[in-house]
Amino acid sequence: MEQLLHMDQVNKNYGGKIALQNVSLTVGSGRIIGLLGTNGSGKSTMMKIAAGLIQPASGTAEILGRPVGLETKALVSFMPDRPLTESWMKVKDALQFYEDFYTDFDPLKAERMLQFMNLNLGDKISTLSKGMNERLQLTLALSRNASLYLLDEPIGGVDPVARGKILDAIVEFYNEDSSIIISTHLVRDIERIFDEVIFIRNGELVLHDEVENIRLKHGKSIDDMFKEVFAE
Amino acid sequence: MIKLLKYDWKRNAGSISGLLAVLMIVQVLIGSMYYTGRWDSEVSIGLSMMVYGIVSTILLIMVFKTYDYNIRAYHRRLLPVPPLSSVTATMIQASAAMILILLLAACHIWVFWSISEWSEVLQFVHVQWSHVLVMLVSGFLKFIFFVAIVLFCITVSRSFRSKGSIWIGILLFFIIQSAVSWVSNKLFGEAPLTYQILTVRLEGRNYETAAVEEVVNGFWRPMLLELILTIALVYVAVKLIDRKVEV
Repeated sequence: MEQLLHMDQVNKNYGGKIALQNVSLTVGSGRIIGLLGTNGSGKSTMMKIAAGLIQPASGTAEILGRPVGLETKALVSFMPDRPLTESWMKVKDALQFYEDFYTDFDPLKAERMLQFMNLNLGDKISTLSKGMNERLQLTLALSRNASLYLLDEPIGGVDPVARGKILDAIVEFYNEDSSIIISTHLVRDIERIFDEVIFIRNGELVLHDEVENIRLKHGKSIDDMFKEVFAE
Repeated sequence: MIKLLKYDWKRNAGSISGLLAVLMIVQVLIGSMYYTGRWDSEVSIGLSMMVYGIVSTILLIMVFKTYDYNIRAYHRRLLPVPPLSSVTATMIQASAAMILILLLAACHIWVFWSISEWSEVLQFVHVQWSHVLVMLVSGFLKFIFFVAIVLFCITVSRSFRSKGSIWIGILLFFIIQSAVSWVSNKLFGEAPLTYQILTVRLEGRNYETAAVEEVVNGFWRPMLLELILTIALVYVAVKLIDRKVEV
């Protein structure tokens, strides 16, 4: 199995606050992985490091064997917890922006996704609801034929209908040669699509295993396991 | 880089067009006050220059704000585009804004001189184009150096996560300006001011301009220093964007 993402002893601090502590992990291809943790546990920091937005204080992060940097930005598609678009844009401008800068952008896939998501090219982004905006951000991220997709809280703050649509889209448009890491704390809604889960608490990885193994070993759903691990 | 410029332009097109429209309207109003005899030429020229100055400043602030936004925006930082492109794209934007204003002002001056009593003065002015060229090159390099200092200071201030980081940038701007001026004076002596290139000397009944060699000799060494510093500031800004400016 190809190593898409490899992190070795990654540490990150914000001022005096530890965000990540000795994080080491390897992610192979063809997997949908849940990055699960409570708010402030370090999920977004980990994704930002993998996406090349921030640098680790120590340790190394690699995508397909290359150190995270300018080159790997072309291999990773990141959907952060804030919009990747600008307020003046229409949906078609956002698609054009991606087409202009990413050589792996697939306009046909984007068109199919727009239809699936009930989005129109002429829609002004500033007038979209939160749920529709999330759908657009996901469309932009998944319309690239990237090696690794990082989705940070893709269903956070949207209604159950939009949530279902977003999860269906992930499964429908996911490229099986690549992998997706999805960070969330809404485990119950999303656990059905995971192959693996990573539990992160206070910046430390506390569990990384296949969903089936967890169910067999512990006899619990991922949601129940999450509640047990993160109980205060 | 052209693509980056395209999206910066699309974001600011509305504001820039609006600003230029206001500039035109105000200049027409000032002109009409002069031609109807309500204001004399000194007042009109003074006000007109002030308006050009204000619009240039606003345009530059918009360019710098765009840069500040871009180095912290997720969708820009995620692009597989070298940070140097962001810096140079901003320098091109700033230069384009200034050239646009200068062209507008030049057209304005030409119209004004050709129909006012000032046109009589023109026949006594002997312009040496080599001097104009030196002035333009020198002015442009000085402007680029100024832009590089501002971009560097913005980048440094955004390298800190603390709240008052903007003040670090402002303080740094004044420190760099003062330090460069001091070093330049120490190394090369007092540099001539740009406008002095075009100072017309009156000797008897003839108008003479300073010899171009004299002017160039006074300029090239400080200019070279500024050019080297511009490259250094851009280099450090690029490294900071890459390693320190976090979003």
